[in-house]
Amino acid sequence: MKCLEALDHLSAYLDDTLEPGLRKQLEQHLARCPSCHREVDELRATVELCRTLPEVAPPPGFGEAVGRAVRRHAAFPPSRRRRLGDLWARFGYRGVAAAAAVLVLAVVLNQALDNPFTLRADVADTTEEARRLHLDVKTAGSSGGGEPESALPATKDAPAGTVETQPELWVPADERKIIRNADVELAVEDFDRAFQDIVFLAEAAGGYVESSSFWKGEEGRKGGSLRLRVPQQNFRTVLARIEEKGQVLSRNLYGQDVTQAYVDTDARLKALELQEQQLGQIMARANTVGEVLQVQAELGRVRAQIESLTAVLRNYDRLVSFSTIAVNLVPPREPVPPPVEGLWARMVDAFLRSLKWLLGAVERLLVIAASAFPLVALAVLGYAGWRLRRRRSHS
Amino acid sequence: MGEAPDARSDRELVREAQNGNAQAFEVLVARYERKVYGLAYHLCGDAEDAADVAQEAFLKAFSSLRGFRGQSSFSTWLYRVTANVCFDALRSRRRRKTVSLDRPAPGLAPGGMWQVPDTSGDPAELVERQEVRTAVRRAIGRLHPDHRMVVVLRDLHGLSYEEIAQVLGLKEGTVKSRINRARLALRDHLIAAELIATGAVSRSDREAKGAAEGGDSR
Repeated sequence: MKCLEALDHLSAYLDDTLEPGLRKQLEQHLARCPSCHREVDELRATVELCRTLPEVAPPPGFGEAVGRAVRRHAAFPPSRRRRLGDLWARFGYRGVAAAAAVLVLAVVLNQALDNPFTLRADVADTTEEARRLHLDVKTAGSSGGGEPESALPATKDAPAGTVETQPELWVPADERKIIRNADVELAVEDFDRAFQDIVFLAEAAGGYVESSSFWKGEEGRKGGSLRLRVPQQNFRTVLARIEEKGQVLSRNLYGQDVTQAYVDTDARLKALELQEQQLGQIMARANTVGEVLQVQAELGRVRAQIESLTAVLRNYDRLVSFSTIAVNLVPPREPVPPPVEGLWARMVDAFLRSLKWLLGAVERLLVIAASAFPLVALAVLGYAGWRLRRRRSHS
Repeated sequence: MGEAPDARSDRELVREAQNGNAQAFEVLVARYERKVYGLAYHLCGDAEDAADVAQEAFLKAFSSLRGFRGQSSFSTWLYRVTANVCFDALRSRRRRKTVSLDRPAPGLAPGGMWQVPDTSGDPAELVERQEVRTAVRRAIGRLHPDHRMVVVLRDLHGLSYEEIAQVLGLKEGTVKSRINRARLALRDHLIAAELIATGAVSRSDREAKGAAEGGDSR
């Protein structure tokens, strides 16, 4: 027997629980090995010291106290419901840590679930912000400076700027070709009514609704957008009437001055028509078949160009004669409360506001708790199962 | 425990207590309070905690008495309940404070236990001395709770390997090796506390030697 193996059996040897064969081997080893012999002596001394320790007496009155507790317990068995203190004693910081972990997880989960919407809202905010910022920046082309309210451009106005940028060709104001556009954002109380009114307005003005859409937000609030095409001469009136339907949050007017291109095209068209006329005269004087064919080919080419340019001009006319109004309808925002005067009123206001905040916090907490519930339920179930198994294996 | 010892056996008392007789259980409490308290004391290392833990163990035993079907002796079962309560208490206590037998036991002269014990003289007298006992208990308290448990059950309460296996829900082989390791660890602590010398000649050895050599040694 090796020392290492002998060491394993020393206690059993001292307690006399070794089977005879093993005991004999160990005794032989001990007789030969002084270090193991010393070990066994030390262990024996250890055991002896322990065995000679007197029993510890419980404090006086201990038995009676236990008896009282037992009788109390027998009379009023504690309910299964655990008090908070018991819960603490049972779970302690581990329970708190687990709860905190679940809570954090829930918050993260909540955030992750919420984020797509938040992000979208942010984007919407930004575009809205941008729109408001560009309110008069983009009213290029025709409208001059000044307040957007008053600067609703007279349709046939010819602002000085335009003249400066296009010095090569001066066109009288009432002949300018301008494609007019307007983007308006309105806050409306009654979405459905405003929507219908605007559609009616467009149609009454001889226009039409190119496209429309609406959405339904939280608390049943509705919003939507329309794209209207109205005759140019009614553009201003319709815009003004639309703006009466709600509170104007933003207005963006912009025009595209196509006069230059229009005039150019028109001039080319006129030249081609002249050419066509001349070719007609040449045709009349043609003698040989070869000449006729040659002039005909040329006539055909000129005709095709005339038709293409006419189409371009007609398209310009269509764009210019019908203006586009994009209307965005949104639910009204929370009105900003006017500043409160007076100490008492301010105190009440502050109190109410903090109360509101608290309620909001509780609400959010409840939402978080609700989102944490499945996890907590799972954890409790797992713990209960684990305890059940443990209890079974114990008793 | 002042009254005349109850003639009824554990088994009878258990059966009565199982039928809701708290008085029968009180007899059992009186019979086992020293064992339960002793185990709790050595595991917790604190007289006050030990009283709490021991009372809790009795209450737990009383409330789960119906689950006791006599597979083992009542005392083994009670040890088992107490051991579980002790381990639970140690676990929850570890969060609040460290376990230590270093604190003087009640009734000990102030500062007494901090003196280096005088190990001269006859070992029989040695263990009679309060400070030596306290030092031994302190050494036991330094053991890992698992080791402490087996040493206390085996060497202080005298349970057999089989009983310890039942109490702790372990295999006997595990108990055997754990006792061995626990004793070796305790031996190291005792040597460090100079309560036994390396290569100590134990008392029984000496007695045997003394007997063999006709008492004229030393």
